[in-house]
Amino acid sequence: VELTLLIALMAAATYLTRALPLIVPGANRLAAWTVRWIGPAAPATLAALAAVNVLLGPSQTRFALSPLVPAVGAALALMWWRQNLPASIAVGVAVTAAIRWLA
Amino acid sequence: MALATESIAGRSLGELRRRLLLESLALAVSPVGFGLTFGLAAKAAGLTLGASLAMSAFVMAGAAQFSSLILLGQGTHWAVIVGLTAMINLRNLVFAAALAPWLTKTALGHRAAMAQILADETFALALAHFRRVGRADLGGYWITGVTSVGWVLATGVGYLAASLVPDPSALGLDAVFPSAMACLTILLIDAKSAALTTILAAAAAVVLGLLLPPGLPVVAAALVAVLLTPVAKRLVG
Repeated sequence: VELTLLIALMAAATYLTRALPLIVPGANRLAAWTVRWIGPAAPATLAALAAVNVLLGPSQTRFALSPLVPAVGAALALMWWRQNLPASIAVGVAVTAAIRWLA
Repeated sequence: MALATESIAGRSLGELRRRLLLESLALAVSPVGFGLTFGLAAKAAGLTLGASLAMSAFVMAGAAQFSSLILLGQGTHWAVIVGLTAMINLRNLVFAAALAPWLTKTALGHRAAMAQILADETFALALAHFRRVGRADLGGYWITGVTSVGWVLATGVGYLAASLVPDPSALGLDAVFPSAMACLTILLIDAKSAALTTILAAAAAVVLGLLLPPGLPVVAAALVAVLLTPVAKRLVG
């Protein structure tokens, strides 16, 4: 039930970002202001999630040099080069599996 | 101008809609691939099939969905997850604001319904179609929903495929989360200043991750990015 409620709240939060400028008169200006000042937080949030997950691991008590470090590095490099998300994620998975298989 | 000329050049609305459908099907490849990955990740994170499908159908926002899986695993407070979901999806405000002038004559209820499927792909397809037609074509807008349907169906397929794998980490599937997060970051960076603040914010999150409870370092990273952006814009543009 808690997860259902969380999904409902996430859906509501996302819906508001989609709907406000379409249904509230004058929300366009508010949209521009919000995106200008809070927008930079979006990539930072994703990068922080990735960095904490890769560099600290599940325990989050010390740095951990796991196979995820080169794997995510390879995925990032391909993404930078080709801008292909599914292929980049596939490379990350393949590098992780290969390192574990070799170890 | 070239796009506007196409609708004047004798193409019927039906032809333009068929073209839109083909474009939507082509563009659906991306959300389908991403949906498959999300299904795999959702299974690995312990979500039920129903919850995974519900998240894709109602939240319908890839990056926020992946983030929530990580944060749920860390036991992060629900308010943080919901707040970050809104923050990650702020770009939708821009899409909606760009479509709003085309829809001034559309009924409020219809606009409210249209908002549910507004995403990167639907926005790009719909705006190009409106320009070709020379006005808002509501039927055309709903055709772009093909991409959203593909996203939800692919989530289910990915989830069921993951159920066939006995040890996901042996296949490297635990790399799906961080790889997706890191790669999505690149898609959202649109300036040198954004790249600089993102790197600094991520570094701050890692250091703070050693000191703060799970979830809070990510919030701190968002704050760091907001505070540093004006400085970064002055330094690198």
